[in-house]
Order: sequence, then structure tokens, then C-alpha cells
Amino acid sequence: MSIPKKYRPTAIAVLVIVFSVIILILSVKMTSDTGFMRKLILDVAAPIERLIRTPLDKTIAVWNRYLFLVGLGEENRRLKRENDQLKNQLLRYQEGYLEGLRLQKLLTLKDQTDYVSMTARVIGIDQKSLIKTILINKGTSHGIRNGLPVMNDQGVLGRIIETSWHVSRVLLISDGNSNIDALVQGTRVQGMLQGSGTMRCVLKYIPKTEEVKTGDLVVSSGMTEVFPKGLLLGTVIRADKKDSGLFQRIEVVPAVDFTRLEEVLVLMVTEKKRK
Amino acid sequence: MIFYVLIPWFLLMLVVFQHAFLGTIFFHSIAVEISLVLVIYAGLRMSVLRGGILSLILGLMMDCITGVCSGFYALIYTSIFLMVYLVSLQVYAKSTPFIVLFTLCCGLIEGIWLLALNQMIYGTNILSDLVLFYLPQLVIVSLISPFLFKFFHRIGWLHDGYVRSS
Repeated sequence: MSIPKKYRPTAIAVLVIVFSVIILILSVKMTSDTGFMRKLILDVAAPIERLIRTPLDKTIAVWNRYLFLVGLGEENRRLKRENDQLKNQLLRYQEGYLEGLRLQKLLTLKDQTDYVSMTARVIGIDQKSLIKTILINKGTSHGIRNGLPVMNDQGVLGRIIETSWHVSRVLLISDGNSNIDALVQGTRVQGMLQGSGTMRCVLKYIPKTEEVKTGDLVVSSGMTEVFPKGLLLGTVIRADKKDSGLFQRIEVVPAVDFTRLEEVLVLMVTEKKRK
Repeated sequence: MIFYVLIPWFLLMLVVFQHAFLGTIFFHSIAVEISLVLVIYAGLRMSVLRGGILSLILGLMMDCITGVCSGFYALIYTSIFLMVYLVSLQVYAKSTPFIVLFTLCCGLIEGIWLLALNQMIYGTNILSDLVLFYLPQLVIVSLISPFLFKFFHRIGWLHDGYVRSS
């Protein structure tokens, strides 16, 4: 049987399809090992594919690496910025922590004293001029007035000598104009603690007959209304009886480190705590 | 004669190139199936015998490279070839828009074949994969098909002097 010439092309195409179907059916039915032709094609194709893919993969890997490095640079910059921000933040937290510790000490002191006290922040230190003073951020509007004693957890700093509404000036005990009635804690001998102008004080009017030695603590005697009794003023660092005259020359180092003043306590000595 | 000598190698290179090169270039996310365009080209431009053999061998090569059972792509490509051939008898198939749209249609038919054969042979439903991956790929293949037609047309031994003008 011959196929008309007109339909021969279609017949060829159909034949090819039929052939494909037969291959497919056989392939599905026969689940044996991979056929010879498939093996051959795979074996031929694999090296060619590798040949094409290897340089391509390497190029793409280099490109990806480049992109990664570009990203890494950007990430590095971002991390540096973040690091700076975190450093600043950490610094603020550390400051806050240290401030908290200082305030805690002041609070402890506040509880220990019998007087109503007010916490103030030191806003200015003037120790280089003739008069050694500091400025605090509390004034008359807060109840501060002249003469009130100022201290911190270490001891007495000085007293208020000038006030405005919101700021007050404190005369430090190391200033030459500062005079405080004091006594040596061990011997109970009384004298006058006067600033010497430097970071030192001098305990005056202690007779040579009295025994005062290095390391003795000097506290307020409470003889005047300004400083309540028993507040720590300083420590004796030198007691000299060799000077001519009736009295010893006793040098006292203030209990307070004036170079590290941040928060202070103003004692409202006229107002006693109600217990 | 040269056609029958060269065609297996040419098709093997084409399939490997399509699988390895284009796959890698597009990060294995898009498979540009230029083999389908060649089948359509064969249906529109080449003699039936040559086109049929080309489709059959190409399909078998695809079966080997993609790992599906033998005859899977061979059936799809030969059936598409027949369909294209029958269409080519009725229409003028030289304009670029026609080639693009026709490739798109043939790609959709291939998609239906893939869906049906996968369901029948492997029992898997690949509809979601077809929609998500195959259709975008098909659009790309359709758009580049006119350029591929020009490329195939330049390969002289593919026609051996005979080019159907529809």
C-alpha cells in the first residue's frame, strides 16, 4: 500500500511520533539499567558540560566573591558606625552607673545625718583663684542660704558663702578664709581648722602640751551653729612642736578630694529630721 | 548526508550548552529552552524528514540530559513538530510577532504535555511548578525566538539548500 505523495510528509511526522511513543512505552515498562545510548550520550555530554561549566562557575564564583566583598565593605562601615554608637551609649551608661554609685553614697550619708539635707550637683570649680570655691546648682529657691555646711560621703567640703536663686557658691575648707571649730578625735583637744590656701589646712591653737600624732582624725566640734558636731574634716599629716610659741603647728589634709567633686550634700542645719 | 553526520553532535552540543551554559548564566533559576525553538524552526522551515529526525534526536538527547525516561521529550518534541508542520501549511510564518506568539503557543502545548506525562508516568502534579517557573521561562524564550530563528537560518547544512517558505 502506497501513501499518496500529498500525505507523505504528514505520514513521516506521524511515524516519528509513533516511534517516540514506542520508545516511551518501552522505557516505562523496562525498568532495567540505563540503556547503551543513554550511557553513551551521558558519557559524551558530561566532559563537555564540565568544560563549559567549570570556567563559568569560577567566573560566577569570582563575581559572587566580588559582590560579597562589596557587601562586606558596606557591612564593615555599618558595623563601625554601630560600634561608635554603642561606645557612646556604653559611655553614657557607665556615667549613669558611676553617678548612681555616688548618689547611693550620698543617700547613705543622708540617712546617717540627723539633719535634713539636699543633694546638689557641682557646676563649677574655682580652685585656681585666690578664693577656693565651687558652684552648686541649688540656690535660695531650694531653701539654700549662706552659712550652710556642705559635705559629701568623704567629709566636709566647706560652707555656703553666696547664694542666688538657683546657684550657690561654696567656700572650701582649704581656702585661707575658712575657719572651722574642730577637735582631734582621739585626744578631744579643740582648735581652729584654717585653710592654708593650698590643698591643706592648718589646725591652730593646739597647745604643745597636747599629744597629737600623724593619722589622727580631725572632726567638727559643733561649737558654732554652722557645722554640726562630729563631721569629718581631715586627717593630721604632720604635728610639729619645734616652732617657737605656745602652740603646735599641725598640718591637716582635708578628707575630701576637691579635684573629684560632682555631687554634694547641703546640710540644712536649722531643720532637724523628724524620727 | 552531512546533515545526518553532524546533527547528533550539533544537537548534543545544543542541549549541553542549554543545560550547562544558560543554566549557569541564569543561576539555575531560569531554563531557557532553545531546543523548543529549534523544533518549531524545524517545523516551519525544514523538510519533514529532516525536521522529524531532528525533533526525535533532540527529544532523546533532552531525555538523557534531563534524566527523564527515554521518549518523554522525544514524544513532546515530535508531536509539537507535527503540529507546527501542519500549521505551517496554512499560514504565513515569517513575521516576528507571529514567531513570538507561535512559540508561546507551542510552549503552552509543551507545558500541557509535561503536565500530562508527569501525571501519567511519575504520578506527580507539576502544575504549580509550571505556573511559577515554566511560564516566565516561556515568555523569555518566546521573546528571543526571532533571534534564534535568524541564528538557525544561518546554519547552512541544517537546510542543505532547502528552506520551506510556507
